[in-house]
Amino acid sequence: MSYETERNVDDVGPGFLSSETRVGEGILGYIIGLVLAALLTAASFAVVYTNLIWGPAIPAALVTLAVAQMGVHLVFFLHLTTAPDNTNNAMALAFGVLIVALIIGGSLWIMGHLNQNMMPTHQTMQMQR
Amino acid sequence: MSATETLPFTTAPSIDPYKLGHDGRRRRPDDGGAGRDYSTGHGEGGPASKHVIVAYGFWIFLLSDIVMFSAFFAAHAVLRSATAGGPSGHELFEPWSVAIETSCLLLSSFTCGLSTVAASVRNQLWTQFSLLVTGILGLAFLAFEARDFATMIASGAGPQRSAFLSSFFAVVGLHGLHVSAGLLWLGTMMAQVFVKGFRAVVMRRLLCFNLFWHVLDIIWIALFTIVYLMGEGL
Amino acid sequence: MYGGRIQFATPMLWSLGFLVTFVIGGMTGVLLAVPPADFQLHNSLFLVAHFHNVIIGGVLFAAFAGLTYWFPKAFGFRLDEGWGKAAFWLTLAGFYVVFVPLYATGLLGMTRRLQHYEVALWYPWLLVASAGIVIMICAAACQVIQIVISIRHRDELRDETGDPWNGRSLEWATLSPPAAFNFAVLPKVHGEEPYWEMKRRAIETQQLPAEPDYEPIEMPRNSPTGFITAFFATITGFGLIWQIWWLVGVGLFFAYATFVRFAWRDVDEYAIPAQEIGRIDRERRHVHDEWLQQDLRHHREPA
Repeated sequence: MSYETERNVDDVGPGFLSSETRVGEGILGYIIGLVLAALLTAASFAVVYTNLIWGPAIPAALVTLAVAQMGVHLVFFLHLTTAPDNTNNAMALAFGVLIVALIIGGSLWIMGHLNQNMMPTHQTMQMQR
Repeated sequence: MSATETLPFTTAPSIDPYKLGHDGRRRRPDDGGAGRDYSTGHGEGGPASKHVIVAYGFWIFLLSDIVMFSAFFAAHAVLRSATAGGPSGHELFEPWSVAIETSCLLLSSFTCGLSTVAASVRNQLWTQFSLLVTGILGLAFLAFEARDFATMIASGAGPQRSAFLSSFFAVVGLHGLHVSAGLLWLGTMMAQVFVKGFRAVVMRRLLCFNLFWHVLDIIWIALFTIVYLMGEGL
Repeated sequence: MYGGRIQFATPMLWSLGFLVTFVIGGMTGVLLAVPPADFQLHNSLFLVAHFHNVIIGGVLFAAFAGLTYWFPKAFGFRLDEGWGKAAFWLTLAGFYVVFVPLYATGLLGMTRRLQHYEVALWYPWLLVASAGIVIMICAAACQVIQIVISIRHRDELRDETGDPWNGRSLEWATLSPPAAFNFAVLPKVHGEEPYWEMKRRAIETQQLPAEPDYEPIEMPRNSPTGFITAFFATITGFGLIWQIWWLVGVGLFFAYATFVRFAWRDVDEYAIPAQEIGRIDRERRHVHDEWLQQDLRHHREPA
């Protein structure tokens, strides 16, 4: 079967610049992404090292800023959008995110319960002797 | 699949012998059998181009890499407070170093994107220059991280000190190993672009490297947020 | 399976063995999932029996089912059915004779990894288990004999048509072993059982479909890179475990060098010309045509 080895101009994949983008537009996209990401990074550091956010809300604020910055990376650097031609890539990402959420969330949940419900280890070790 | 449907095995113009570009039941305009490729999964136009296939496949690999990182993250999240009487994150982490590392990696992601633009217009000089800057920033990142690790180990806070530190060195070290491998790959790509030019296979590899480098920065976002910044709070 | 016409050939036997054994092993796992029970039974032979139950049922039996099913496709000749069935029944019986007594010893307090034991109560159970081991050794011998005999009689056991099991999926549409390019033209698939449809249509129309237009097919060039890189990666791993740092460096360097050499190839593919594709595919069509005519003469009905 002879597949095209050259890019079909309408094909889209993760990381592709659309072939209609001119150099200026391409660079501008990356600059906007850089500026946004830098702002979000600075905001994260500010949340931790200044008193701008109420203490107990700091973890939530950090997670929000991190997710936002990941989004900036995905859109501006990886060109992963919700456009119809990008559906496969977005679906794959969604699945990856699901697995990550299960692994991290599940571990935290289980270990939290175990820490709550089990005897401390140094006591169980003493019972072994 | 009724018997009244036309037999699939009819002779046709040689590009599309089984008329994969057309569905027998629903009429579509005949575009000569070449088919336009729509990535929405309806199958018209036959298999996607190599560029798309390689990018999608590499993207799936990167997602599996992210899943591996999430396992290390989960371990660290769970062992956050297991300092075994030793130093905690708050005592060990130096914010200025983390800030420099983050800036280096973010800028390197930007320059890597610039190299994509340069490669798309086949400009050898700008491609090589932006790849070089990416590499230098990546090396700077590694240098600061190595310095951090060395300082911590010298003060007795190595990976053997506590479960918290083991998981810390594991997750941050894994990321650092990925960056190192990426730099090796970057050097190889610079050589390939120089020697072989912008042929299709080199472009596909540059695309994969691009994806890899950006994903490493995304993982670093999670890392510096969860490990370093949240580690401050504890 | 209900209402169907199942042939209990060796792969089906292994599959049924998998179903039964894996489910039973899973159920003992659920028993272990009860925390108070697990507190007693963790690291006992009950646990050992349970995980062998799931692994041997789930992995081994299923692997043997797959191996015996696809062996003809890969190597071009079937495996001897008689020795295959003997191997299956001996493995199944032997497995239960070995591991069911171990559930008992686990409940009676026997732990894992004992160098010796002095509890007389366990002895009869372990004796039965040892007998089971003898049965499983015989079963393994049957597997080996099956392979030897099948190779020796490979001409009688030759898979002429590529479809020894009257299969429904596309791999059975090729000859055994398949050509390097697998399919001469991309098959058009409408439903879940494409090859079954192809056979049914051929019988209805009493002929094979018309010869397709052959195109050249691009095949990837072979390379030993994967194998060599894996070898050096193994060396690297070994060095890391035993902290032989110079070996780690050597392994990493040569793995990388091999990979770079592979990446430097100028030619990744070779094309098989359309005439060659046509020649090979016509051989297949000839075989399938003869088979079809023979079937039509014997008025074969598809299931």
